[in-house]
Amino acid sequence: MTRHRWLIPYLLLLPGLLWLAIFFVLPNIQMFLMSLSTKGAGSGLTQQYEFTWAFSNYADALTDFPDQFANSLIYGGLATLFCLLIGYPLAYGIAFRGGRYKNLLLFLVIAPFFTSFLIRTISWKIILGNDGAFLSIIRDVLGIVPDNFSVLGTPLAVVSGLTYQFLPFMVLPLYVSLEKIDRRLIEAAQDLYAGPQRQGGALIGGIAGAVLAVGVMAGLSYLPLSLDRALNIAVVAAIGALIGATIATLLISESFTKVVFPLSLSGIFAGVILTFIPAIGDYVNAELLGNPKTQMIGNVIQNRFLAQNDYPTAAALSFLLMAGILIAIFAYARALGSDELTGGAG
Amino acid sequence: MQDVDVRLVQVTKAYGDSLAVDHIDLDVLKGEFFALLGPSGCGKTTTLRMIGGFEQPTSGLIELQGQDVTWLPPYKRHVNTVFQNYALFPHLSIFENVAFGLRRTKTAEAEVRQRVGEMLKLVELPGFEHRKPTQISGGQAQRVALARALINRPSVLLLDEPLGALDLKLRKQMQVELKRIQQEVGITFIFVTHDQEEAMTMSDRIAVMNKGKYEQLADPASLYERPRTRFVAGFLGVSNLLATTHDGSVDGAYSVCKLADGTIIRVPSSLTEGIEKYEVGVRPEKIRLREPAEDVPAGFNQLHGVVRDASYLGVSTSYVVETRGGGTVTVYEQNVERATRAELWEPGEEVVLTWSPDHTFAVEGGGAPPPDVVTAAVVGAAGAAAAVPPPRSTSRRAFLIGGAVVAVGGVAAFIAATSGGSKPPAATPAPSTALGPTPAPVPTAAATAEGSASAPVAQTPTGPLNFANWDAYIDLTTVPGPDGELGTDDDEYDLPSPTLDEFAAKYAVEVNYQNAVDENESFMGTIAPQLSAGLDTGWDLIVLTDWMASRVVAAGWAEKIDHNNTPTAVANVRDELAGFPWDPNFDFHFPWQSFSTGVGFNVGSTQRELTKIADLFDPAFAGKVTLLSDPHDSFPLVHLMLQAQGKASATPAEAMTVEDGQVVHDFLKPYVDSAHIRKFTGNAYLQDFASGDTWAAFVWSGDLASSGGDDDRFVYPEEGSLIATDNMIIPKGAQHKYTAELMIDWVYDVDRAARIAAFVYYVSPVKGVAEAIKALDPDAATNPLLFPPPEVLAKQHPQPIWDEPTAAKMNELYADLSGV
Repeated sequence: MTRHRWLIPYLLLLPGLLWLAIFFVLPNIQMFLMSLSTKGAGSGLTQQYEFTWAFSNYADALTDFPDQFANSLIYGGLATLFCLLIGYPLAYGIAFRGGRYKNLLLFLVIAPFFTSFLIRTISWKIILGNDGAFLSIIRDVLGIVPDNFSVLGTPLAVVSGLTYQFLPFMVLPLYVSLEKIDRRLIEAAQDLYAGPQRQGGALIGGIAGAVLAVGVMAGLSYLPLSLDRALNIAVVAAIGALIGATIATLLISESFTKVVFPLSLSGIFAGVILTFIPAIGDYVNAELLGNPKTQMIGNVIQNRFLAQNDYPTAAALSFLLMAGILIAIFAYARALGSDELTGGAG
Repeated sequence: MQDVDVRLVQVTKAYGDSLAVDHIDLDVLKGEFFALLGPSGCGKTTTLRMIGGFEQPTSGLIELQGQDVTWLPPYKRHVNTVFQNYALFPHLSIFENVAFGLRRTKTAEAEVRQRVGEMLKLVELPGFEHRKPTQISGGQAQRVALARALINRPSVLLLDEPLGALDLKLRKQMQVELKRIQQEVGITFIFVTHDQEEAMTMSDRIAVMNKGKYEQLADPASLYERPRTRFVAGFLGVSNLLATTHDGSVDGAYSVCKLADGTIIRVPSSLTEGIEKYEVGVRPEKIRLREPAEDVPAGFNQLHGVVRDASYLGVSTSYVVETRGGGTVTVYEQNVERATRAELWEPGEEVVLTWSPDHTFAVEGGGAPPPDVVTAAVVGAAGAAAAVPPPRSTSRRAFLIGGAVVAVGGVAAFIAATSGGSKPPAATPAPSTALGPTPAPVPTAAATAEGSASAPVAQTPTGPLNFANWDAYIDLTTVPGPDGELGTDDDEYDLPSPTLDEFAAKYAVEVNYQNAVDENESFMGTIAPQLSAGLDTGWDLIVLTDWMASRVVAAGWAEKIDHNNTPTAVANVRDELAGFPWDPNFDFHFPWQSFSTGVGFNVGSTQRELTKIADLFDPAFAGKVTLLSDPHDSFPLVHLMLQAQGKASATPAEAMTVEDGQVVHDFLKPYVDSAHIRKFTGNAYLQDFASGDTWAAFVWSGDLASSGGDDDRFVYPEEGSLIATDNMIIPKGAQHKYTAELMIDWVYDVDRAARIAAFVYYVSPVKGVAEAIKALDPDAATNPLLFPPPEVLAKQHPQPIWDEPTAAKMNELYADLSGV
């Protein structure tokens, strides 16, 4: 027994590796082969496919669905951004001010997961619907949008749904990274004269707010980025700048920007990855909350697989999506610097 | 008088009812090395944190160099802190850690470099600039923390247990180092510790704290030699305390008091002044043990006793002596005169304990001595042991949560990576999990063949019968469910259906009925891979529309229905439903219901009655229109409208060609781009009509009638409508084929068919239903949805059944419209 002790770690790995091999590697190999196949005998339901090294499937998939790829990137990116903007203060509040309600609050964050994904999306359909809570407030109570204003069937609805669905994936890693920050580090920073943010902070906050506001409005198709809309863009940017500068001045202190924020980068990194990957591949939100022009690449894959029996295109799209995500994560990891991340953890 | 750097006036800190710091007055002098010493929980750290500004006092005043700073935040106080465990910023290099304070005060870069260099030299860490805090040792971290605080040249430096995390040897070394640095920079140090030796080694003055107050404030020697309270006597070193009585008699400079057995003890009068009751004490090393016969210097205090225990400690020996009065006294004797073990006092030997009255001290006594100690008590330095910080326990929970996150993330990543990619393709038979509701073992081919070949052999129904149908497509009880609502749940059949319940009772099988079909294509997409691989789909009975049913039959994916088991269905199926070329004799299917496709609207939203397909394109309804997601429905209807407007070919709707489809596509495209058409959907329009998100749509005839919405309307459009039939099919390899056949036969009973028809408002395929309904529901008998009038029938076209290439082309046109 003792002579074979070195085997134990490998034996412990075995079930997981087998699982991955059977349910991940094999299907992926098969899908990859399918992505290089073309139609053979049969038609319709009994369509057969032959493996023919059809790399053209990839070229076709890439050129046939530029809008859907763009939608996936923009909506997935915006949802990740919103998750971060909503999730960071939330995780911060729970970690630093949660007190004895920490566990309860964390439970509330993941509570929606106890209902089905579909029900949660449908509930957003109700919230954003014509007689839902959102429009009741901004249309009926505040009256800031016209009577025929609709949220359902717009990019805003899709991004809202995605943001809601994946918020816990952002909050939990952020919470973990914030929770493990030694409170004395903040005291140490204050002790070393880290006070409220100075003018520089307001400037940075203002610029970030302006860029974010314009980016969000453009991403949600409310504001085309063209010269003849320069005035609108300027107004949106100004409002964003004002909000950003105010937040930076009022809420963000030097002990946050110099200590807490850098130390939570590992959580931001994990949260962004965990949110962005499922968000970019999602199709349920676009299906239920969107319109024909807001379809994401996941909807195309679903349609090709289930409705059109066009497996090669669907498989090629899946692999393109996977490759895109991997490249994005790689670039992102390089940009953020894995050095900083591990350093921050210690 | 010397300058006071820090002054506390009646400072109190309360947490709820308990006082952490209780009305402290304290003056710390300029340039002093001042220690706050006490066990954990005595309030010393709270006091330090209030000076640093991390806590606000509940009441009282804090002054720094004469300025009231009580309410100033930490970053506005010219005070710096060396934290317990140092609190170095893990993400910054040593250089940036030390430079942190200078950077916050916007010091010029050149000066920052110069001063950081100097500081690192002072703490003897030059060359460590670029390391991270994780890459240095505890002692080095301690020095960095010191440098980081001192570089700001504060008025006062606060140190919170700065050496607590170091091992003994390093601690001793750092004690000397700290003292040297303090003398070099000349800054006032206030230092919190529970370690009395540390405090004694370094401090100029020590305040010994207990329960939120300091009990004695003095230089280390005074504290040790002349402790004034029991607590101080016990906390600093070891003391022997003796309960005495005194009558105020004096012998020279000494007060005279008596032990319980009458022994006289002298104590300096200066120490007993102003104290009503006191105990006298003596340090163990001040006592000398003598033979009973030996001479004792005049005036010395003496006690008789017996050695009870001796511990040889190398430098000294520690004895426990039981005195005549019954108590015990600890004595340390240097191993000088008695240097070897053989020469030590042995337990049992009688001795006399003697010490100079000048070494006797008096502590305030709290009334009568404790009952179990008659003449003497030894108070050990238990405080120090109790002050060991408790182990931190938060890290494990953080770890668990982290683990959960990793798990969630892993699952998410797996799902994302395999979504749409994990289904086995039709071309390659592969083992797969059945996607139906109850994955079940696959029946062998032999068993299936046998089942369908030898019909009249007595069979028993088996279950559960897995039945996939469309939403709201069967009779449900009219008794409200537990939630007080009638109607169907979106996902599952959860209200009793009389037809299904009676079937289950009659044949003693469970019926697993699910609203699993939303669209023909997407439902078939979930079972086509199994069917093409020759596997069980998990379903025993499925309901598909003509065009899809015809494809399934053509693909050989339908079980042949044994008419011996379906005599009622064979007899009752309406004649006009027979003879379709794809299955003329009901060998593979029986109709479930026929439906019309036309225009539905919510009159509350539209504010007018709609009569035509063209009405959907009224600009007033922009963004509020949905079309059906099946091109078999939507394309022929638009084709009919375009024909009526003279914009399309005269081809009948049921025979429309790809070219006709292109015309329809080109007509619809601008309406999709302008978002006039909000969506292509299945019968989700039911909820959308209710919420007002959809005002008008292509709909299936019976849906709106059974939706329960008062304003929901269905019209057969003037341009014409479509009619199609949904059909029951037993998918190949179904586990409970015989039971499925019984079910087909069951719903062809006229009364049951009438009951279903009256509920779902579609056209029943069963003969004689019209008469049966009259008895059941007279209103329904004249309802045009169940019994379309002749003028509607005249303009009705069968839904097209396209061949595969045409269907593929139509699908592409549709995909372009629907954005996928």
